Amino acid sequence: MIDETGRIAAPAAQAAETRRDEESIPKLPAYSVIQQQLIDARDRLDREVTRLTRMHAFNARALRLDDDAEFIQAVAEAIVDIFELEFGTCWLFDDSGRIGEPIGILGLQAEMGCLHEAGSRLALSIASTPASQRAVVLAPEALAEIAPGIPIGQGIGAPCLSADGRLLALLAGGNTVSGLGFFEPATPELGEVFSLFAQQLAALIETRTGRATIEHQMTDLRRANQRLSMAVEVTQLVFWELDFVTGRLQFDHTTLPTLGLAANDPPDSLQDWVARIHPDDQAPFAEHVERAVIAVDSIFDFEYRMAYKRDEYQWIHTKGRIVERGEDGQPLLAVGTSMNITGRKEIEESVRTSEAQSRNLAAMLRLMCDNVPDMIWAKDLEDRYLFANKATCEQLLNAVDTNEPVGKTELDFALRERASRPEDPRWHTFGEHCQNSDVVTLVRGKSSVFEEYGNIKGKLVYLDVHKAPFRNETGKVIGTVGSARDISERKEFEAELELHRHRLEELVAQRTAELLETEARASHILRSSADGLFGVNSSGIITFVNPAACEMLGYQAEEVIGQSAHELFHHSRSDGTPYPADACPSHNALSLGQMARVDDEVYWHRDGHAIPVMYATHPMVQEGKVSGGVTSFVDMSEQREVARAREMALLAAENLARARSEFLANMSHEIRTPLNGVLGFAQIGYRNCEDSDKARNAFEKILTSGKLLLGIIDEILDFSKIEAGKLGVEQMEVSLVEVVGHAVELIGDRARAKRLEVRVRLESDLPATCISDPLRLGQVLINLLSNAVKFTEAGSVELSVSRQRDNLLFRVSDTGIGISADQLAQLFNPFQQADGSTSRRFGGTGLGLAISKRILELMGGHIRVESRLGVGSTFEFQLPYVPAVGGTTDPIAAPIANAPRIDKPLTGVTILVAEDNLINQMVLEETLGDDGARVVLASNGQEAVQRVIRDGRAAYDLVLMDMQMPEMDGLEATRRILAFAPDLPIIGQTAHAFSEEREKCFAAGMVAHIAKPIDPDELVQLVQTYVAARRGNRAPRVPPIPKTGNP
Amino acid sequence: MLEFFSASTRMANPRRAITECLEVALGLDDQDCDLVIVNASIGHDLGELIAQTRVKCPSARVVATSCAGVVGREGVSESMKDVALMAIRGREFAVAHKNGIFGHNSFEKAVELATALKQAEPATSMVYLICPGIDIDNNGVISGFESVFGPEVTLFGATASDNMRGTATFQAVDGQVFQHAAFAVGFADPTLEVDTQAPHGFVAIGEPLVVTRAEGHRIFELDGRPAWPEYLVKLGLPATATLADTIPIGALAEQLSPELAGEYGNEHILRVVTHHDADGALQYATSCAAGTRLWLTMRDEERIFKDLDRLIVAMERQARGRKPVAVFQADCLARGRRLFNRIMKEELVQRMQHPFSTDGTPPPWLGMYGFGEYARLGGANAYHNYTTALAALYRK
Repeated sequence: MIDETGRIAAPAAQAAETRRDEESIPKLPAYSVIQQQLIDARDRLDREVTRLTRMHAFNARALRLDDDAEFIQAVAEAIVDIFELEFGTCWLFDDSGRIGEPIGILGLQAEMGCLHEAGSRLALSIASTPASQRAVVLAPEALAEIAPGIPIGQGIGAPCLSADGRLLALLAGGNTVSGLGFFEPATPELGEVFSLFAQQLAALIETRTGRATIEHQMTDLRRANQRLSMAVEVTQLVFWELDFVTGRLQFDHTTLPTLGLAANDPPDSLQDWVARIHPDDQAPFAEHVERAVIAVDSIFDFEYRMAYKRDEYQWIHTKGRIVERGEDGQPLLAVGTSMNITGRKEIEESVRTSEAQSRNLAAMLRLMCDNVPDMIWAKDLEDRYLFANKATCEQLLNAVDTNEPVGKTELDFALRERASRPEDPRWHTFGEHCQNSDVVTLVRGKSSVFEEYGNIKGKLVYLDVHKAPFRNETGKVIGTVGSARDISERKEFEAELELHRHRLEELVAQRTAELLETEARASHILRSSADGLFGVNSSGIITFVNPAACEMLGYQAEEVIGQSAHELFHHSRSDGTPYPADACPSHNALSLGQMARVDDEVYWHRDGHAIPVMYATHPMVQEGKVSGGVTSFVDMSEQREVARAREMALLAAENLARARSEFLANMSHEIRTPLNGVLGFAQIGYRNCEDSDKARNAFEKILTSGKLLLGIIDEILDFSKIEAGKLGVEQMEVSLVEVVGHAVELIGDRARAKRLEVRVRLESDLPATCISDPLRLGQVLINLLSNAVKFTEAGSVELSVSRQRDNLLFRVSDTGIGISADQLAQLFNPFQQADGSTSRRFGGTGLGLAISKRILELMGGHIRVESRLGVGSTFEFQLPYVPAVGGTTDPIAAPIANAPRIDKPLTGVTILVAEDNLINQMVLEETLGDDGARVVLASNGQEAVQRVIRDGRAAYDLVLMDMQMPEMDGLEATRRILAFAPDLPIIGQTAHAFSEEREKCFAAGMVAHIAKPIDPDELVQLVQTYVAARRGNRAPRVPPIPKTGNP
Repeated sequence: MLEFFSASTRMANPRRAITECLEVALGLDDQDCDLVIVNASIGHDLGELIAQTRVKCPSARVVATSCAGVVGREGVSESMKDVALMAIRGREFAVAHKNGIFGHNSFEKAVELATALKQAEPATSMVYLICPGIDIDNNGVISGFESVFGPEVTLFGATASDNMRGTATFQAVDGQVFQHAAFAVGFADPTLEVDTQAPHGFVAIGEPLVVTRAEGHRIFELDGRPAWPEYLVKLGLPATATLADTIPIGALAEQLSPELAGEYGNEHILRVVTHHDADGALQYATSCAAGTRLWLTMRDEERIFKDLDRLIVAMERQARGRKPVAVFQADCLARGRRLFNRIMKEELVQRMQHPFSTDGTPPPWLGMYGFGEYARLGGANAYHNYTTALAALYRK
């Protein structure tokens, strides 16, 4: 709220205080400043409280930090946090006053070496100050000396001193030059708190140090105890002490269980101890005690059994000695240990048992070895026998008994044998031709098998020898062990087999050579084939492939063989979708045993592109079963490419034709629309200028020229449709009289202008109707008749129509200029007239005859011509005669006659004209008005609908409807009008000259269609026809024939 | 769909500060996310904070701004080493930034920034915006954004600050730290909508100062005299006073139209002086034409609390029983410890957070003390000073 002076009125909520505020306004700024000072003071207090709180929190946390690095870093962070300085640093000093590592730092980037030096300088600097135990605020100059190269703008340092004045640590904090803009300045006031923090930290460090020392000593003690406990636990010793004076026996009771004695029931005297000893051991125990008592320095050492349960004993080993005697030599105190040795005793017993078992085992082994037929032995490293079984002694060594070989070598026995038959050097040669298998075995260090041979007692013997290194219990090799079996008989048998095998191999080699030769020939054929060939087994696995196939598929033969043909290159269809093997013709050829031939699939090249192929798979049948198949294939890429190119060219040609057709259609539309106006107004002018010959003449020329232009457009359009294959012929019931009459009527004016006689002769057997295309038939007739009139200067033109069996024969004769023989040959070619001068003299496109010929051919007919120069020409064409179903075949009775024109034929007729083009509106209004009609105009379809609905069903006799209009087109308007007035005849008019347009008209419900430019006479005739039909409540029998040349 | 997680702490070590915040916000197992927005007191190095964030959240975009203190679910803190962050998971956002934004080119740079953001995320429906706190024309910034996005896209956020010294403010995007950059986070989550409010609770007093010479956001003369000395005189401060001395008591008021005043609950909107040049010119927070009348103001604690309650009521009405998925708070640094003691400040924050809390736990909350605040007023975006601005994001 502002008053007129621009002063702010008090807020509404404070209306009651407005007066007081206004009075105090001059003082308010000062009040604000003071209030702010109070707030700031309160804030400082808050911050000091916070600072102390955080110091306390730091102390609590630091006490838990055992690691020096963590601790010192926490100190640096605390300096930054508590004092809100940019950086904090802490150096720890050892007992000798040197800086230790690590150094705590936060918020400052500096190398460790620099920090060391800075710490040392700072320590010196502080020590040199008067109050060296306090914090020192450092000026920039001092900082530059302490930490050169580090851009410190402001700093504060404080020592942490022990109770005895030793430097424990040094703290520093501050701000860099760039941080001065933001951080708190290091003031003397801050220094006081900094000192306090340093003192607290010193106490903390001392506490940490003292605690560390105690913890160290405690740790040593705990370790010593642990070691002792472990020793006692491991040795299972029980310490005891025997007081001979009192007879008391003392133990550490906790150790008694190791002796099997209960800790709560210890033997408390020597007698009690002895009572628990096995009865058999009590006396020896007593003897040992007695000897120890008697003999000075004698040690009691005895093993005995002691009960730990009823009738169950453990072995105890007790050692002890007298450690104190009286002056009389009597024992006073003995100490010693006892140990449970039950385990050891059990081991000793086990060893004894084991030794006995070993002896038994040796005897058993000897017995077994001596009773097996194989030779078994053991030798030391010098080849001396340690053991030889009976078979070895008998079969190999010829030893006296099994003891004889021990300590002797095999050579000793061989020499003895040879010495017994010096005359026969082959008497004993065993082993001489073989390798030293003992050495080989030792070198190998593992079990080995040998085959050794030689003569024993004159007979060739083969032995199958097994040898192994002989190791003692420590694993050391001390010799060899071996066994051997006589395999002489088996060797003889094998020799015989070898001979047979050798013969067989020779036979196989011979057969193989023959096969290879056959294969080589087959392989050559495969390699030479330009087609791809591969063979598969019954599972579809490739067994061979020829180079052509490899080249086409991009694989090496070795990459393909062994692979599934389908999975390797026939896995997908041409569109990339998976091709299940079950659906593959090659696969089916194998499963069904039938040949398959395919020409529209692809194989896949190794690089991923598809190869269109034609392939044939022939199953291979052996013994009634399919053993595989052979597939030959051809790369169809080129053929497909050619076909594709052909299709593309065809498509391009079709597109071109379609484009041309559409262009021509549009051009036709664009020309017809203005031409409609030109011709319409020319017609109007012509009719209304009866008094002026000159004007009438001029309008007549405009009309003639316009119609000529229209004819040219129609011909070009027709020809383009024929070229594009779009010209169709219809099949409907046709009145020949009407078609012929219409054609003759159309050329009537021109013939009369040239004073030519036009004769029409319809034979008496000519049927009245037939099935044909009235439009096209009329077009041909008009073309021929027009030409006849055009090229005839005097005489007559005659049209005759007759039926000859199944054909209708049409003949147009004239007495015109005629055509030469040369010209006749080119006559039906497009753009050809008799000669170039013809065009200049008579005009025309030269398309008419070409179009007529094509139309007739489409209708199943043909045309021919006879002519003589200067005499005249006769064009004759035949069409198949198809009788109309239900129509009359009666010959026509009445000759054609031109109906006389009636003045104002449309008098009394009201026509609604829907037309958006202003020129066309004027033309129609004038044309129809001249003929007596009352014309009501609507500028679009919607307006036409509204008019009919507003004025009523009976208001109009007929509607002339344009097709293309804004707001609502003619088709939609027609449908809506007919929904309201179903009997109202509607005639469509359009500048599009295609039959499709006409069909759309009829589909919408129109009764007829007239193409622009509109022929006034034709229009009038149409209007008359349908108005009469409506008034007579009947429709015309067939749609009236549209205007010439308008398809 | 975007998900929000927040945490804050006061800690001198930047790596540990970020690690602790991320662990609190996202848990110990997986701290990776898609976007992290960091507010940090001016004593922290934004580069170090961002580096640690990227270590912990390698997939995330990271943006950060300097401020005078932070507010989080954990409460409020205004030390030199505060960090608060909002971690976001989800893809429906985009980040854009433009360096070199000053008072003289605020509009053009804002257009560039908004255009870049719109190109990156055409479906942006709301924008978290951070601009430099010094040498900036915030009217130009808002106009630039609205020329690209239209007034219907809500801007919220703040201008960066230092600790009220007016020396420098910082912004960071991913690995880069800037002094004169603006960044924008465009949210395009179709399930989200935003509601903003911004009251101040100050009253205008006395006769207005008239701006007699100004250019853009710089005011050269007040009442025909050099602006800075005249400003100090009017405030009753000595000529040696610093910017930090002026900010708590030096809010300048511009009159609002009656329609806006009704919605705002105050007839004036406040502006702060963020810097003064050597030639005595004031750097104003928005453009200010010659002839503008500026009133001095007084703080009214009772009204501050009442206006805050009014804000809460208005936002609760808008919430229609929903709890926000996240709240972004921008407070004027003059409303921090230089205005309220710790207990009052905590009470204010408690009052703000309580209505949004579920079982006593506030929603993910990211707040800062900056130089100024963005919040809507009168159906369009507006810039405020000396306010508490809340932007509450709700699921539709």
